[in-house]
Amino acid sequence: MLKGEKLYKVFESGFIKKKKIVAVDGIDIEIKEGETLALVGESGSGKSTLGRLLLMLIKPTRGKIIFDGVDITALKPKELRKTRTKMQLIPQHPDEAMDPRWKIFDSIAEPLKIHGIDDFDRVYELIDMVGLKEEHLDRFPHELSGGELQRAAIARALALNPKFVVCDEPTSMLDVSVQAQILRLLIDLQRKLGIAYLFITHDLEVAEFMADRIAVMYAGQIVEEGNAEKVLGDPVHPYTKTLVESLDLERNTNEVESTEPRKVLVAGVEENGKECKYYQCPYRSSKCSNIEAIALNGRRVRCVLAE
Amino acid sequence: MDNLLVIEDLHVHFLLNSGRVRAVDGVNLSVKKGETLCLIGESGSGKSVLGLSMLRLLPSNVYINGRIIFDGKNLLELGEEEIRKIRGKKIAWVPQNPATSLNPVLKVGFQVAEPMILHLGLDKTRAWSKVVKLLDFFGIRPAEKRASEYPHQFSGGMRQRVLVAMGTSTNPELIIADEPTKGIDASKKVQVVRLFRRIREEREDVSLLLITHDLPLARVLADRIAVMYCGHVVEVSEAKTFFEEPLHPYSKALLDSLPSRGLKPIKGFSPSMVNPPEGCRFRDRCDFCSSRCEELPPFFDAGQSTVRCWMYA
Repeated sequence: MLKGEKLYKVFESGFIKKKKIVAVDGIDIEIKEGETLALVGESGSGKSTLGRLLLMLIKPTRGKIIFDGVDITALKPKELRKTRTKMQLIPQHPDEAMDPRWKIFDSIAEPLKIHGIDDFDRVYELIDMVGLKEEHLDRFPHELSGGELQRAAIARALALNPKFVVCDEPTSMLDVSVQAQILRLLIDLQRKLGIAYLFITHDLEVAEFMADRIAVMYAGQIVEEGNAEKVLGDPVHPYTKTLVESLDLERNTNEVESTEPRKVLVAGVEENGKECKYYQCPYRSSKCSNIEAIALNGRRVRCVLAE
Repeated sequence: MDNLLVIEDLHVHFLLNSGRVRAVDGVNLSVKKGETLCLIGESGSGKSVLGLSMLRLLPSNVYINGRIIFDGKNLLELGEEEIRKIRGKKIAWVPQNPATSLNPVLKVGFQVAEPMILHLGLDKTRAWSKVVKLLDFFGIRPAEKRASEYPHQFSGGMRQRVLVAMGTSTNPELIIADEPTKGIDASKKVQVVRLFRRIREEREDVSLLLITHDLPLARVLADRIAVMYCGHVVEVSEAKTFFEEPLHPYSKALLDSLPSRGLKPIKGFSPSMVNPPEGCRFRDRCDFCSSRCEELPPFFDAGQSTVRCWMYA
């Protein structure tokens, strides 16, 4: 349903001395109808940028995004706006994503207004779907708790019946018990409405629970992608391995090690869709400077070890 | 082990126009010498308010009743001068949000040195050399150079370590850390755990009170766990037994909502703190609720634990 081909995003800053940050470095990605693809990786690995690219909230430097058979990078703004009704974002910080001077009702009704739908009964339908009460509609964002706000943000994202929703760390700021409620809600809505999710998270346990497939990102590249249980249960790429190991808080912290943080390359300065950027890899060899994703038992791994 | 700090029947209420918010409502809790106690519970359960009340850092529209005994003195009765000698010296506070807790226009080194100059009476040169040692200890290197930098030049994880360095600089007897892992990812969480482990290795007699809703963190660091729900402490257990066999129905439900334990949400919502229900406050969401629960249960002993639930009467 949604496909990204050879996507690049380079941020440039500075006027005289140009500084380049390659946030997304040659990514191929595909999301099928009604499935959940979890995108995991450390902060700064380009997860959110990729999510925004796929929604065309920011323009890719190069590459194509094909949604429902149409290349949306080539659309004119007016046509793109129509496509936008089918793709939505659930933000990481719902408190910052709502206008503080608007009541919740107005925020949820905004997408309807923009697209010329005057059916405000839809708002009541939506809050019923996400488990809010009518009294919440008359409140301002600061009068709701984090969980309630996230429900309102979900209601707003669903207002136009999207087929594809990017969930950008929707529970990273919430408590475990509220997190469980929100994740259950997202699963229920997916079953009812058949929405596809790109679920961005740094919590591998959450990713495993939510996802059909999982894609591991490092320094702007997807290093491994495939069935969620298989990737996390038996990682092939050395970076996925360290990531899975870092999940094991207990074992990790029992080892005596200096507090020196592991050096992490977050984003490269050169666009280079070919080279593997996991430089501290113990298996690093000359082959790693030109590597394509390799298919391996239904997975795609960008590593020579997979051969 | 001896008790370092004892809280007796503490009530902290905020007086608002709309009514009285009972953030802490009758809490009894003790922190032992040299232990790590984790206070866990949802946001809004009163954990941070309980922590702040120990340092008397609450706003003025607050009603406090009860006793907090530290060093033989009731902290709630001390004058402003006296509490200042304890705050930051004997009891340190590591705040929740490293991004906003440092002064952006002062050098990091100066901010770490400040409590030592104030409380230990060191002069600036000696304080500075201690700052360099401390930053080096917490892995901020090269410490000499980094000490002269400003907070915006530090990453989030480093700011966190700076705050811990600041908190530990005066050799406090009790360190209270508020949500040290909020919003940080797995690899940085490992660093936070190592950080607190190092403090404990360095000084065995220091007590840590970690306020958190991060259960995996509590699991690896805590000696004892206190569970807070809606202004009440509902269970105090040894960490080992807590994660194997939680006693209070709320503790059970909380553990079951972890992704690794099936992600089962707790039904319903937390009750309002303005008009909390009489009796056990978890009653409406509890699967084991009976008519007895309309009366507030006292603490019952169950093995090594104490639990506030009629099931253990």
